[in-house]
Amino acid sequence: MAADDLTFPRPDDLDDVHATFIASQLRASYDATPAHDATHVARVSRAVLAAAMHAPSGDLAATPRSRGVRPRWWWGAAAAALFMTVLTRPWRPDVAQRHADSALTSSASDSMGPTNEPIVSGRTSEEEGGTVRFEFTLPATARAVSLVGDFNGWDAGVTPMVRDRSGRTWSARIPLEPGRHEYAFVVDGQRWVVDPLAPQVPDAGFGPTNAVVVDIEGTP
Amino acid sequence: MTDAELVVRTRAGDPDAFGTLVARHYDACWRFAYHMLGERADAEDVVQDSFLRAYLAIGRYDERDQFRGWLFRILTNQCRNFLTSRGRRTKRFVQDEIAIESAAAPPAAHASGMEDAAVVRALAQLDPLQREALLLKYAEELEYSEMSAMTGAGESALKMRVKRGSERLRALLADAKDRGV
Amino acid sequence: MTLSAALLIVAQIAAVGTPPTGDTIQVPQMRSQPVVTATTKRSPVAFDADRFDSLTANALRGLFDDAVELGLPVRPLVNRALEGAARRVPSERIVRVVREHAAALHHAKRALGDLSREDELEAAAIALRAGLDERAVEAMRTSRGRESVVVPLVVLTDLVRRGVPMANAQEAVARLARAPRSDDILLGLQATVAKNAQRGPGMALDALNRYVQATGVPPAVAAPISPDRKPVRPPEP
Repeated sequence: MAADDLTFPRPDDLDDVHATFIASQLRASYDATPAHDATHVARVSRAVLAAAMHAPSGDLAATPRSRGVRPRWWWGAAAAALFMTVLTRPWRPDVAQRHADSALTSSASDSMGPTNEPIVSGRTSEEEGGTVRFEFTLPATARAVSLVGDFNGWDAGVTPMVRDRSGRTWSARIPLEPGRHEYAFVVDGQRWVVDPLAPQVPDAGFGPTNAVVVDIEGTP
Repeated sequence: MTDAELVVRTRAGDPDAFGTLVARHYDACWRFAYHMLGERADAEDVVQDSFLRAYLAIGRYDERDQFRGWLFRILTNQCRNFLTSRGRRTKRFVQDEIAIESAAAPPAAHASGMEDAAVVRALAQLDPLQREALLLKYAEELEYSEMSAMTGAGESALKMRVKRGSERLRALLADAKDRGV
Repeated sequence: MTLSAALLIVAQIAAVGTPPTGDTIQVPQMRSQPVVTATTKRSPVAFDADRFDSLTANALRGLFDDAVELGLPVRPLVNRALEGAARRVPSERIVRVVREHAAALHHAKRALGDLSREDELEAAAIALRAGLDERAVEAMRTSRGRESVVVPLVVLTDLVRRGVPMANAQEAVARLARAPRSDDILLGLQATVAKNAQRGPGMALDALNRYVQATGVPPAVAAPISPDRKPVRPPEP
């Protein structure tokens, strides 16, 4: 007889002598719960569908997706939110919804403006002594831009960036330990933006970020 | 038709498909919510709210997962939100009063189908996290790994909640029995 | 439910979130002493519990404890939690993301080995979540030997995100990773593909092929690297 044929009580059950009693009480209570009739359930479905129709943005309220559509670029958070719901990305069509709160996120396919200049761009460079310089260029003047990342607890108050004369390029220099770091930019205290051309870290539930690798010791 | 097929149709805009999903899972959701929240009307609200959120998020449902589990994830969160945000304390006493009144007339309680109101009342006196863990473990019959995935708590923490919750529930039920309620 | 209540709910909805994946952390029996954690020279990050409600803070501490049990670095998990708080993401999503990240780190450690650096584990965890399979990560470790796998993993993750099919991206990175000064070459590949991916579908793969061709690095073969292979030309800008 194989060991699988025997039903041994699992250690969890042995630990709690009264588990069987409690389990039976709860299951009995469950069984005693009345079922709902079909009319009630149908009413619930209709109510849900009706409420969803009025949703300002939602997966099913978006216009039908088509592959390969290149959206136009609008400026402004409200327009950007709408823009995000029609944005398509052939490999991740469902990610568009998550980016709605980041007006400038141009992991979108098009960050080139009418004159073919990049609208949003960034740059990182290593300086002497383990300092890294982050640059970030925006098309219009922002009031404040901060650098956030896994080196400052993602806190927008820690590393404010400095604007240059043009008013469009912001920079910050910070010491970074060798290795991989994640970062993003926070515009006007609210909008999280990524550098579209720098290595990106895919959205794991919060939104995309950038990655930068500072020279690792011992690497040729 | 499987849940996954219904989801595909729902995404395509078929309202009947969604209606079928609701019909299929409504009672299970309501049972859990009722035992978590202790009141029928609250359970109905939270379940409807959960279906709404599920509908709006249906694009993000991953077909490789069980639909019931995904839906329950939403439901347990909604129950938690409800309990933390509404100041349950006062409501619970009101509910207890009504329950005690109706318990004085057992035939009426049976007719309403709430024979085990004693269990629901006792559950209402547990810490919400213990209550949730007990229901997921013994009533929904989930494994600890599934519970951990659903709630975000570590398995050892969940086992402790189940253990403490059962001890307390047992004491409450014994006490209620002694008092004849 | 009234319509206004429904609208209020809808207005509050940040993503409900994807369902839990099959990856869950199996907490082992209590050990007498912790396993060897990843070697790291990074300074620790404080878990600022004040940024979370107590329920969430407790859930997160539970996850951090589980991670320590499994010999995983806690710093990346704390950072994820802080990122979620900074983005004002709903608590249940923060906990879910941290839990899924811990599971990904666990798989990364399995693929890369116990003595991996923390940022290698991070990069591998991200790559695994982006769809790379464990065997490819293991192969990367084997081919790189003692060199860090961070840059190949970062570049690979990015290429796939830009629309390069996984197989093409893996092959290209494996090929270039064996060249001298591979980190610079790989980052050059990333920059080129990123720039060209904007032009439309299929452009990313096209750019990848042209770049790899231009480097002159021979395709990866099963045989070990011979010392007298062709010198690598720097890529065209």
